[in-house]
Amino acid sequence: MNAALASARFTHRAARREARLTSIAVGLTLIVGFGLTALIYAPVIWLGILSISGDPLSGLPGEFTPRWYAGLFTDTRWLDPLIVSVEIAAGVSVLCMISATLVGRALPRMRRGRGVLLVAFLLPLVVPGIVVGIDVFTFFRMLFGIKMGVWSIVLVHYLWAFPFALIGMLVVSSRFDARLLEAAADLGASPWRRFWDIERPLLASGVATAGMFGFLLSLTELPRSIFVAARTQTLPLFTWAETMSRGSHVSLIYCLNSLIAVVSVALSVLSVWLLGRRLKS
Amino acid sequence: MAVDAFDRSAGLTRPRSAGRRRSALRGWIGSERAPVHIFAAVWAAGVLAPISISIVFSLLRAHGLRIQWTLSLSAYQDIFESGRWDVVVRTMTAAAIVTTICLAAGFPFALWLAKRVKSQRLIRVVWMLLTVPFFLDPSARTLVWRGVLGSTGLVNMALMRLHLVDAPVEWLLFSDFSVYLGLIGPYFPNMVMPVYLSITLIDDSLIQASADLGATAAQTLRNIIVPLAMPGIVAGVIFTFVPVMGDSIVPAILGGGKKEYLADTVMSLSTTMNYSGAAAFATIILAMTGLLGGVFLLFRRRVLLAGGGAA
Repeated sequence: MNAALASARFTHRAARREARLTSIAVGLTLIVGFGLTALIYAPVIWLGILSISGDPLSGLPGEFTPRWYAGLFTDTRWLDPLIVSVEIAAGVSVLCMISATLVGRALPRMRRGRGVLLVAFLLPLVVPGIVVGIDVFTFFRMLFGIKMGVWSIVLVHYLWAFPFALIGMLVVSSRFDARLLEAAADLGASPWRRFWDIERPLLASGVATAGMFGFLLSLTELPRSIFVAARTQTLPLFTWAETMSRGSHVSLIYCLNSLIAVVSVALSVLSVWLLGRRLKS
Repeated sequence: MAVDAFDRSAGLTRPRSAGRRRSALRGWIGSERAPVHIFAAVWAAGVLAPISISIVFSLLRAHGLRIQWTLSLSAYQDIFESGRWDVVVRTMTAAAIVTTICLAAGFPFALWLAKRVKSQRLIRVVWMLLTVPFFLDPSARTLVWRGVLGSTGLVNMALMRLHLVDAPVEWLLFSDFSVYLGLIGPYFPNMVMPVYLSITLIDDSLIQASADLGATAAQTLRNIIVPLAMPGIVAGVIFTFVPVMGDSIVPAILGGGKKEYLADTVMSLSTTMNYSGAAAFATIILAMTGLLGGVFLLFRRRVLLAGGGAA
């Protein structure tokens, strides 16, 4: 009896100690976890602060002024790279939407080879950008003698973005109830009608996410483009060139990239929100 | 019966009649699998073939844009003889350190997010915070560290103002430290996401059962959660280690050319048009990736076996 009581008291004390240790562990986890997340955002916020500072090159904020942003209107060398980037991103986005829909809607319903195909499609996720860049260049330029240009930028952006687009699509399509199509077929709906009236509305958020992932990943892609761009200049390549030459136009870079960061954050929040809403309903 | 036929043809229009090759072909053309197969073929030719070409190229000699079709190991020989092996070792060390830090911080963070957070909204906010970094210009977000870590930058100014140091700390920028710091943030989500996904798949009742049987939290962690989350952990290690190893932007901007990393070497080899040398380095990166992929498969199989044994 006594022994049982003592043992119960011991377990109780052990449990309390464990609870205390757990709360310390959780606290530490949160500090470190959000600390590392802050390592991503702090530089971006700092970029925004410096872009309205009098002397951004000093590295310290102060004397807040909109003059660098005004400078965007006088020094417009950034405009052409921006247009090129947006055009390429739009193309990649459309390619991603079409191919992610085609593949993503059928993949969950396939019986054979599903795993192998998924691995093949997601493979670029684990191939570093620099390897993709050098390989696409050597393959097409050296082996086949095809000159690099806009097409090769689109290609490397696409093969970087497609896995993400496909994942975005699969999040939605893997929960799609195929019996709905069967029911429609039994009721005499044509294949096209089944796709347009049933699959399209249910998969729409996946298609939108695929398109936005494609657009954003292409708009900011740099390591692959460096190798395959030839003379084409995208906005990240422009930023990169200015950064590496330590030119005096850093203030311009700061403004431009603050604006791009705002757009990227807004669009990615929107696409993740779209996916989340889909899953909830 | 109807469902079975539907599944078998996956094309809705008609069930495949057994053994008739021609009608099977006609069924394939009408089916929704067909575009996937065609796309897979294009994908193999346009993406997988180029990605694997560096293995071939590293064994050839190329002069400028001309290829000599003779096998040679000289590209690899050059790596050893020109002392570039250092670069490989330095890059692997950096990738290992960054991956370890991300894992040490990311596993508990993912565990907290998967098992402790009850609010769906908070989960979505954190998930969003981890997604956005994929969509930021790598050179712009890295460039700013120069202003923060430089000798007249934020950190040094603060340290001097507080009289903690008399002269600016020089090793903050253009050093291994600054490269690690620049790499940790952007690749932290790569670690958290797969680990989180694998932990959410662990049934809560297993954890509850372990506690009911008298296991301490540490024992449950070691014997239940970590083994079951192993595929996610290994995937996280791959998704962190591999891109860190191949990152060309952070070392170039924050390494300041003093410390050369793999990607710097590949870039300089390709600007001097030594493509077989660059391909040899690319092959080394791919080989490391393949090795880690093998480890992943090993763990996945072990977990599957353990799961099968339990069931």
